[in-house]
Amino acid sequence: MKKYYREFQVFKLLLLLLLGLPGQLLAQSTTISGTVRSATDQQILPGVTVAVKNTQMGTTTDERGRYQIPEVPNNAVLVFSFVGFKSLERPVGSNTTLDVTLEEDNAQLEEVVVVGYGTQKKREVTGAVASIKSEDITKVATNSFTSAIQGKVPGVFIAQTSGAPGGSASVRIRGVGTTGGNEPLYVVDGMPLGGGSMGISGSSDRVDGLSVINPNDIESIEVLKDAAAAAIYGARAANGVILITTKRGKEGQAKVSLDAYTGVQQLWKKPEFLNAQEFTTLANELYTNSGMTPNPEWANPASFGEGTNWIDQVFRTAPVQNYDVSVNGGTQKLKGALSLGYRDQEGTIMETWYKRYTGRASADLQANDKLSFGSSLSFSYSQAKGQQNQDLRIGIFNLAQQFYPTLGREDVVNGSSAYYTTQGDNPYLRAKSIDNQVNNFRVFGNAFGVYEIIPGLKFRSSVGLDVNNNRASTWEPRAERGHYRNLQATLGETYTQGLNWLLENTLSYTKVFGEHSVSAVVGQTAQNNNNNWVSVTAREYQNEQIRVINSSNENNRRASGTGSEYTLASYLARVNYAFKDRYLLSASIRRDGSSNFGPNNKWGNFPSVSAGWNITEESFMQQQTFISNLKIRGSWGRLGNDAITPFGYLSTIRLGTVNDNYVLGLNQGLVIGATMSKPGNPDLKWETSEQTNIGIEASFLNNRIYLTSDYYIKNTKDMLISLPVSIEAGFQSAPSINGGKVQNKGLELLLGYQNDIGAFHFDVSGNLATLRNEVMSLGVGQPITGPSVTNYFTVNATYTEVGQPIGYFRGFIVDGIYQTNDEVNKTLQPNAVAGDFKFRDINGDNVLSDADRVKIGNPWPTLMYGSNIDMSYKGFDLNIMLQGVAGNDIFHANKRSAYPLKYFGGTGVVNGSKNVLNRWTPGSGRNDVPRLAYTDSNGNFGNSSSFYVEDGDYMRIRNLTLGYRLPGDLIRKTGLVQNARIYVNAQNLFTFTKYSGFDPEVGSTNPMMAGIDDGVYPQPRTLMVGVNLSF
Amino acid sequence: MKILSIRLACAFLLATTASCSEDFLTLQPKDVLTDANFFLTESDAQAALIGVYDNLQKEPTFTNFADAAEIEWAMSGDMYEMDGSAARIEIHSLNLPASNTIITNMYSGAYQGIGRANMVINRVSKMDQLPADTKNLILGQAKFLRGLFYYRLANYFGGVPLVIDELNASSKLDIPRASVEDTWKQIEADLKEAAAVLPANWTNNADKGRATKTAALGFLVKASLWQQKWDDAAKYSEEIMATKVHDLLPNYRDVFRESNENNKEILFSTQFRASVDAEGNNLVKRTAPRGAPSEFTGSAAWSNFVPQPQWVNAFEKDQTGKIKDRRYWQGIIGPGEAHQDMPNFVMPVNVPAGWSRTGFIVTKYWEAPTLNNGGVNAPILRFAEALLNYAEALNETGRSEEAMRQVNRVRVRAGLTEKPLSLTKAEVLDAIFYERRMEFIWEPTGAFSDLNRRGRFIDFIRNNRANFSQLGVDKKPWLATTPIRLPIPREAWNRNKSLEQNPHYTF
Repeated sequence: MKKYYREFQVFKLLLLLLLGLPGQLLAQSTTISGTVRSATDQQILPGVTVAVKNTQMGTTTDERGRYQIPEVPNNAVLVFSFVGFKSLERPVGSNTTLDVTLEEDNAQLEEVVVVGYGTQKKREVTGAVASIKSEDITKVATNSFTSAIQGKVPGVFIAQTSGAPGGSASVRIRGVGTTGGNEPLYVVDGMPLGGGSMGISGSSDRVDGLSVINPNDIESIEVLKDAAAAAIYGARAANGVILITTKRGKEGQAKVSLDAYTGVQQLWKKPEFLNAQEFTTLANELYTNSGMTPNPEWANPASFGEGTNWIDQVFRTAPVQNYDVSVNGGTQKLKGALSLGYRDQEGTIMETWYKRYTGRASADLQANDKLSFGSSLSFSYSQAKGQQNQDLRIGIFNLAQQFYPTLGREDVVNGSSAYYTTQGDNPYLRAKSIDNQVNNFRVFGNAFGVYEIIPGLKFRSSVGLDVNNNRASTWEPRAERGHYRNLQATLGETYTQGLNWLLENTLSYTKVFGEHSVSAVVGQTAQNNNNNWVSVTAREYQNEQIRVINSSNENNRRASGTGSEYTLASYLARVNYAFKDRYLLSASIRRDGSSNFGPNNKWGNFPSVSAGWNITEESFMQQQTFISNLKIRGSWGRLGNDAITPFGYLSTIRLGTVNDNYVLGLNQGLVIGATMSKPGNPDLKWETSEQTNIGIEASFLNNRIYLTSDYYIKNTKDMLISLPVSIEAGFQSAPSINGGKVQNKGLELLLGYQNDIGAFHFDVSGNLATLRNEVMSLGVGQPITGPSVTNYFTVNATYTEVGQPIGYFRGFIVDGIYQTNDEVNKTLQPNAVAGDFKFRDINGDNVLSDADRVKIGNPWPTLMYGSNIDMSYKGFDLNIMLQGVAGNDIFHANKRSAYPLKYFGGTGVVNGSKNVLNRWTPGSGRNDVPRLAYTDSNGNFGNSSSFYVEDGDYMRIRNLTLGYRLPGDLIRKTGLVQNARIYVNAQNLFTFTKYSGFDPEVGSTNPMMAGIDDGVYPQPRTLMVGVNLSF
Repeated sequence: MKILSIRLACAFLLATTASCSEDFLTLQPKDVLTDANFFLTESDAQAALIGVYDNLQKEPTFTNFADAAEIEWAMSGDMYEMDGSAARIEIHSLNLPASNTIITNMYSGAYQGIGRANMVINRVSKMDQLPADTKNLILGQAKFLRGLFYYRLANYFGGVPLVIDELNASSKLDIPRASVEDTWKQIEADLKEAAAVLPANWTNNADKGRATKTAALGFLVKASLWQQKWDDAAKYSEEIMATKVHDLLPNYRDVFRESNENNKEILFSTQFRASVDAEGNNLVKRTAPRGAPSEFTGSAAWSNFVPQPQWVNAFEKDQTGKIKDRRYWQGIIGPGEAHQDMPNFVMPVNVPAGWSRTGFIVTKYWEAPTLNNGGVNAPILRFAEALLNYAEALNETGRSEEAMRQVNRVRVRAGLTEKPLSLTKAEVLDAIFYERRMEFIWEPTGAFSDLNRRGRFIDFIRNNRANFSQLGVDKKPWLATTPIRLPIPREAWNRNKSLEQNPHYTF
C-alpha cells in the first residue's frame, strides 16, 4: 500500500511536469471538517491531531473539538490521534463532514514499566513490579521520595527512622532476610546510588542520603519485589531493587513549571511530664522511701507550681519551604530538561535544620537514524544541623524529659549531687552551645550512546559517575554549666570523599515474528567504588570565635583517616518471549564477581525464570465483558546480598589504633601496637536468597475495578552472621560466617475502584501485606543477642533464634507488683520488697535466671496496610493517603529514663513522665508502675521486661491534599501562565495508636534494633500551602 | 593512575578476558594489614607484642578499677560504691549473678588478652629470621602476659578453659573448663618461662614498664600461695630479693607519683600517659570528689568509690586519738583535711554527700586535675606486697620470726612501730593481713582475693562490714564454698554450652 502510494506520487509529479496541468483536475479534492468527541462520555476533545495519512497535511481540533482541512483528496485517509486515546483512521470518500468519536486507550494495559536494563509493556511483565508515577510522587511534598512509596506498595515497609529535618527512612521489601544489611538497592537511571543516609557527627540525627534525588525530578519509581524482576541485579538484589527514572526532555514547546510550598511542622503529640510541684512531691517520696533525707529545697512542693515545661522549651513550631523550577522541551532531534530546587526546613527540636539545593540537567540527541546520545547530571548541596537526641542520658530530647521543672530556662544545676544529677545539663543551653553540622556536595550523572545496528538490535554504552563529598563538623565551646563541664573547646572535622563509577555495555534485540515476539538483552558492567576520609579533632581554643583547626592548641590535635575500595564486575542476560500476547516466558541470569569476597567464592550466578498467561487474550474470553484483563504469573529466582564488611575472607591486622598501642619507657612514649582485628574466613560468600512468587493481575468492568495480588516465599540461606564465638576464643571481633537461614513469606493485595460519574472522577484503592518472618537456622551459631539498647541502658532487648522472627524482644514477664512484703517470693527475687515488680518464674525452678527470659514482643508488623483515595471534580482534586501497621510491638526504652525518676548510673533524681503519678504506694493496689526508690535492687527498670513492651499498631493519615486548578480561561487571560493549581496539604494529620511514647514510627537501620524507641526524634505533623504553575 | 587506566580499559573491553576481570576484582585492603603480610620483620613481632600489653589498659583488665575497686575492695566492703549502679550493687551485696556485667567484662577482657598473647606466641615462635635472644624476649613477655591473664581468671573462677593455641573461625570453639590444678600448671609454666628469659631490670630507658623477671617471679609467688605451696612461694620470693632490684621507697606517697613511675618499688604496673584516649585512664576521675571545683578535679570527677568508716577506724592511733599511719595521711583526705599536693583544696568539714558519702576520698592516684584521661600508672604488683607474700610463705614454713621482719619493714615505712618478732603463727598471719588491708586500698590486692584465698573472707566481713546482717550470707550458698568462686558469666555460657557453672550459681 505504502509502496503503491509512493509510486502514485511520482506518477503525479511526472504528469504535472509533462502536462503543466493543475493537480486537482486529476484527483478530486474537497474541504473536510468535523467534531471529535470522546466515545465514553461524548465530551468534545480539543487538541486532537488530525492528519492526512502519508502527507504533511493536517491540523488539530479547536476548543470546541472542531477541525477543518481544505483540499483533501477524496481517496485520502484521515488519522485522528490524541494522547490517552486509541488512534483512529477514517477514509474521506465523498464526505465533507466527518464526526468521529475516539475510544479511550486502555492506559493500564499499555503502560510501560521500567525494568532493569530496559523497559517492558506492563501486560508482558511476568515479575512482581510495582510502579509509581511522578504525579503520585509529588503529591506527598517531602524531601525524599521514600515518603511517596510509604503505604502505597504492598510488601514495601517504610518507617521513618527519625523526624529530624531531612531525615531518613528504613525501607524493607518483603521483610528482613538477614541480621545484616537490609536496605534495597537503589538504581537511578541505571546507576546504583549508594549511601542510604549520612550521619551528623556528634548527633543521633541522620540525613537521607537519597535526597540527592529531588522527588520533583522523578518520572517514575519501580519497585522490583520478586526474584524474577530483581535477579538482573544479582549479588545486590536480595533486599529488592528500587529503580528511579528521572524526567527527561519531551518534544514540544518549552514548558516552564514552578512548584512552591510552605508550611509549618509541629509535634502531633506531646506526652506529659511532671510539673514542678508533682516532681518535687514525688522526689521527696522517693528519698523518704529509701530512708534518705529529702531535699530541703523541695520541702514545699506547692510553692513551685507548674514550673518549666522543658518539652515546650526544646520543641517548637518549625517552618518549611520548598521551591522547584523546571524547564522541559525540545525538538524531535534534541530534547532537554533542567530543574532547580531549594528546600529550607527547620526541625521541631530547637537548633536543628536542613537546607538543600538541587539541580538537574538532561539532554537527548538523536544524531542520525541510527545513533543517539543522552546524558544527565544532578548535583545537590545539603546542609543540616543536628542534635544528640537518641541517648537516654545526655541527649537534648531526653534532657528535656528529665531536666528539673523547678529550674528556669537559663538555670544550671548547682545543687547537691545527692539530689541533682551531676551529669545532667540544661537542654536549652546545651542545644544553643553545641553546633554539629553536615555539609554534603554530591554530583551524580551518566552519559550514554545508543547505536541501532540493524532494526531492533541496539548497542548501548553508558558511563555513570557519583562523586560524594561530605564535611561533618562538631563544635562545643568551653563550658562550665553547674556540674556540667567541657574544659576545652572542641572542634571535630571529618572530610569524606566517595567516588563511584560504572561502565555498562548492553546489546538488546526486539523482534516480532508473526505471533511470536522476542526481546533479549545481554550486557556487561564494571563498577568501582572508592572512599576516603580524614578526620581531625582539635581542642583548646584561645579565642572561640575562630573555629578552625589552626587556632587550636597545636599539641592538642588528633588526626585519623583511612580509605576503602570495592569493585564489582558483572555479566547479564535476559530473554523475554511472548506467543500471541497470551503466553509469556522470561529468563535472566547475572554473574557477579566482587572484590569483597575471597578467591574461593569470587563469582556467583543468579538466575531467574518466570512465566505469565494473559487469559483475557484467549478466544474463549472474548465473549464476556465482565473481566477486562486477567493475567496470572509465577516466578522463581536466586538473589544475592553482598553487604558485609569488605575483606571478611582475610585475617586482618589492625595497627596503631588506641586499642593496639601502649606506652613504655621513662618518658612514657607511645609505642605502636598491632592486633588481629578479626580472624578471616576464606569461604565467606554473599548471602543467597531464593524467592518463589505467584501473582495475579486482574481488572473488571472496563477496568473500573483492578486488583493485583502476590504470594511469595523468600528463603535466605548462607546468611552472613558474626559467629557468636565463645568468649574464650579471645577474638577482638567475631569472624563472619555464612550461617543462618531466614524465611519470609507473605500475601500482598492491592484492590482499587475507579470511575467517572460525570465530571466527578475517583480512584480509591487499598492495599495490604502480611508478613511472617522466621529464623529457620543459625547454622553452627548460637542465638544472637542484640546490641545494648544504648551505651548506658546496657540491656540486650533483642534476641535472634531459630523459630522466631529476627530480633524479637526478650525479657522477663512482669506479673504486676508485689503488694505486700509477705507476698514477695524471696527465693525468686531476694532483693524485692513490696512495690517491686513480680517477675514470672517461667520454668518454675524458683530461681530467676536466663531461662525465665522469654519472647515479650515482635518488632515486625504482621500486617501492613495502606489506602489511597484520589478524587477530582472539575478543578478540584483531593488526595488522602492512609498507612498503618498491625501486629508489632515497640520496646519503649525511653521509659528507662522517664519512669524511675532516679538518674540511672549516677546520683540524684530527675524528672519523668506524668504516668509516674500512678506509681505503687502502700495500699494503692496499683500494678503498673513500681514504687519510687533511689536504688533499683530488684531490677524493676534494669531488666529487659514486658514493662517496656507496648502495642506498636498505628494508623496514620499520612497525607491529605486538597487542590484547585484555576479555570483555564481565567488563567490564560494573564497571557503568561498556562496552568495554575493551588493546594493545601497536611501530613500526619491524625495518628491512631495506643503507644504512650512520642511517636510509634521508630524505624531502625539495624534489624537487631528494630522497634526500639530509645528517644527517636518524633515525626512532626506538617501543614502546608502550595502552588503549581506552568508557563 | 596506571592501575586505574588498566582497569578502565579492562572494563571497557567488556572484561572478556578472565585475567582482566580477576585483576579488576582483586584488591588488597587499604586500611588494614592481613596476616599474610605481617609477622615478617622484628618490628611486626614487637608491634604484636605491644598489642598484648595494650589489653592491660582496658578498664575490665588491669587498670585498678574493675578488679581493684569494683570487685576487690567493694566485696570486702572497705570501699563504698557511690552511684548505686546495678552491677556494682550486685557485687557489693554479694549477690553475684552470672549476668553481672563487671564480672562478664573482666572474664572476656582476660580472654582477649590471652587471644592476643596466643597469636604472638604462635607466630613469633615460627619466625626463624629473628635472632634467638630477641625472639626469647618477645616470647617471654607474651608468656608473662598470658600467665597474668590466666592468673586473673584462676584467682576468681578456679579452673577455666585453657586456650593456648591461636584459634580461627573454623577451630573448635566450645572449649570446656580445665581443672583448677591444670589451670595453675599452665600459669606456672608461662611464668617460669618468662622468669627464665626476662631481665630483672630493662637497661634501656625506653623499655621501662615492660614485664621483668621479678614480675614473673612475683606472680609465681602469688600462684604458689593460692596452691598453698609455701616452700615454692618462699623460694620464688627469695629469688626476687636476690635480684636486689627492688626496695620500699621511704615515702609511701612517692610510690604512686606520675613523676616517679616505674620506681624500684614497682614489680609491675600498667603504663599510662595523660591523653584524650585510652592511653590514659580514669583513675583521677573515678576518685576525685564529684562536684568539687574543676580547678582541682579537672574535666570530670565521679568519686565512684570512697573509703568506708570501718577502714579508716582500723588505722592505728596515738594517745590523742590521731591516726599515726602515714598511709592515711599520704593517701586519704577526710573532712577538713587539705589535699597532699594541692593544699588549696580542703575537704569541707561537712562533706557534701555528692563529694563523698563517708567524708573520705582516696588520693593515691589523684595528685592533680586532669584535662582528659589521666597518666598515672596503675600499680599491679609492688614490693610491699612481695614482702607480705614472702612473710606469709615464711610464716607457713615455720619461720614466723623472719616473717615478722618483712611485715615490720612495711610497718616502719608507714611510720608505725615494729611489732614483736615473737608473735604466734596465727598472730603473724593476722599482722600480715592487717598490713595488706591498710597498705593496698584501691589496688588489686589486699582485699577479697587474699582473704578468700585463706578462707578468711566471711569472718572478715562479719567483723567489719556494717551492713553484714543485711547481706544474708546464710542464704547465699555460693559464699559457703572454700574458696569462694565468682560465677562463670552467663554471656560466656550463652556462646559455649560446654561450660560448667561454679557450684550454687545458675547461668
